[in-house]
Amino acid sequence: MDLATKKPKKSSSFIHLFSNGTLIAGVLFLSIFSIYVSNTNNALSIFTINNLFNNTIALAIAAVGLTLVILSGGFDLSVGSLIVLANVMIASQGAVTFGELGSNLLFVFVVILAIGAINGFFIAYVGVQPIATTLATMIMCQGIALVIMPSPGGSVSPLIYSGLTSTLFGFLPIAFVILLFIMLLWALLKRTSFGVNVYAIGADERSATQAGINTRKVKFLVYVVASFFYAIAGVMYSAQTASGDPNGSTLFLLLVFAAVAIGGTQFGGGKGGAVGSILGACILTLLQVTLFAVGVSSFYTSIFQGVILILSVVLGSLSSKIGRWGESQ
Amino acid sequence: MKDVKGTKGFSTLLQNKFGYIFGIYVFTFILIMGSKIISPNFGTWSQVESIVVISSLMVLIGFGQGLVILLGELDLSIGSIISLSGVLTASWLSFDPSFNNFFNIILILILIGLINGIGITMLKVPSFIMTLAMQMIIAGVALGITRGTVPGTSPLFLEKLMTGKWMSIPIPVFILIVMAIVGTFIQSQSILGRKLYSIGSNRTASHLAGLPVNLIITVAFIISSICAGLTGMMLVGYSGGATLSMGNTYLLPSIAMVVIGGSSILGGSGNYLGTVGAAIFLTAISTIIQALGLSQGWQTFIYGFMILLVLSFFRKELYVLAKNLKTDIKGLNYTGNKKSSEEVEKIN
Repeated sequence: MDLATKKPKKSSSFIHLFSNGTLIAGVLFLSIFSIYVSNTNNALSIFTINNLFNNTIALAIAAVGLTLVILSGGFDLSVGSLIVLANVMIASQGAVTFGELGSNLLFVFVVILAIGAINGFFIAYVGVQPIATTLATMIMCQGIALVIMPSPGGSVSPLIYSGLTSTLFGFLPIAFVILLFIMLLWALLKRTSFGVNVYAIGADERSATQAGINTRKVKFLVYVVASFFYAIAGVMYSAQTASGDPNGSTLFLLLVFAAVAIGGTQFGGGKGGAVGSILGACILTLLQVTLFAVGVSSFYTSIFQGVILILSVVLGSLSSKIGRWGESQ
Repeated sequence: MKDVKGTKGFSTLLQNKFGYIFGIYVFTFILIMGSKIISPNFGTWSQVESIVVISSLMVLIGFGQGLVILLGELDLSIGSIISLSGVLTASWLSFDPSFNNFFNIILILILIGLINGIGITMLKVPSFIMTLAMQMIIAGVALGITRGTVPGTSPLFLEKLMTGKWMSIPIPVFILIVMAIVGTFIQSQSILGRKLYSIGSNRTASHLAGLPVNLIITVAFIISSICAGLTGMMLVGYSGGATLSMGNTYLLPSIAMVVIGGSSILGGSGNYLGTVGAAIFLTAISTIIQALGLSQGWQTFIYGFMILLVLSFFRKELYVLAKNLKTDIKGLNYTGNKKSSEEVEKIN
């Protein structure tokens, strides 16, 4: 038989479903959600669903930003600090009018993007390792946040904390709308040449360079675009907490990384996506409320989160093995 | 094409590994001596002594983390391990400082390292995630067994060890020196050390050469866990008690000191003397910054800035960029127009 005309066998579509890390995250999410619903009154009411979205959205958007960085094969330890910085910048102003809020937010975005650019510059053009650079910027941002607000306090503009946490038309959570917008943004980003280049660099940087991609520029831009997402996450975080806290970064950092890992994005780069990371964020916050609903002492929440993290990664790699086995049949 | 001239001069000296490590020690020395300008209270023997004592708490985890990074992995669980070990030390060893209790704590530490190792080698979970998850789990365990309240006592023998003196020099100074010698020997001279370098440089080749890669990786994580645990004990002796979050402030500096000490984050290269030097350097900076009397925020900012400075200072690319910038500036003649390419060639 002529090898050129022999068609590759189509893998059974059932097995093919399993090779997607995002799907595993989806299944995990649904199982935890069903446990949650069966243990909570009014679980499906608008009020509780709105609360769920409000509690998850900052983590989810931050995870999207971090996903972009991880996809390119990079690393970003400064996620938590940038969000905290945005938070204290907003809370220290407590803007009342739309005009004040507008200029406040503009300033926040400029600063956060500038720091993202600094990250990108040192990583892409000076060649310092991402983990080391972002470690340094993380500490610097922590410092700036403490200078702006030495101790927790301040007040977030009511336009933000009540405006962004309520519902449209009485039933649609604004946080959900924002999440849809972010997902749309991501879908568009993936289709630009920039998005494709990010995946390419993450998969194999040397090949990408030889294929003519300007790796340094793309790597630089990755950190800038990611910081854009962090800025939005910072605004949503402020909406959720309604005050400023310069000390919150380390726990948040761990959760963002956990969300990205649960979502199926590979840490070497090249594989994964934002949808999974958003699901990962949802799983982590949902887990917290579910454990509470079931009656597990809150002392043990982090143990469960850690176990889920390991489980989801193991399941993810297991599923891609099944997928490859399915394709070879 | 712009000439990549980075092969001569100062930057090359720093590129050489031992030149780099020597440079860190010299830089730290200059920093401490130079701080005398700021105030006569600075740069004194007692300040140097306190810097070394504080550094001694860091060098042990720097060793453990260094071995793990040498393999190309990361151990993020050491923060919680320090806290757990501290809590167990304060709870068990304060009231019953027996070898039995000590041994039990070590066993727990070995178990943690073993779990990390198994997850990373057998379950193929990336080390970043595995140790991140363990950090969460161990923190939860510590919280669970103490129900939030930790006994505020410390074992007498540890207190004597960490605050005592021998020949009027604080004992921790000796701990640091001994650790520096032993650690460098283990990492660079011992067979285990050689195997670690090999696996870190090229895991596949090491595997094909017959090295028991999974076993060695697990051993490294066990060592890291024990080092973190011992640090927790030392901390309890030094500060007289334990808290649930005492280990959190040691995680990121442990990575920082290994990276600044010259080890590659990707594994395969590094020298423990560099890590020790970096630990002293970082402690010196934070001590001097603290003594300057600036607010907490500015202290933190300058600390991070110094780290970035040191890291980029030793990158060849920085000099290439600077040189290209210089050429660009020289490429503008007095009327502000760019010189022709021949004239630029003449400058170079």
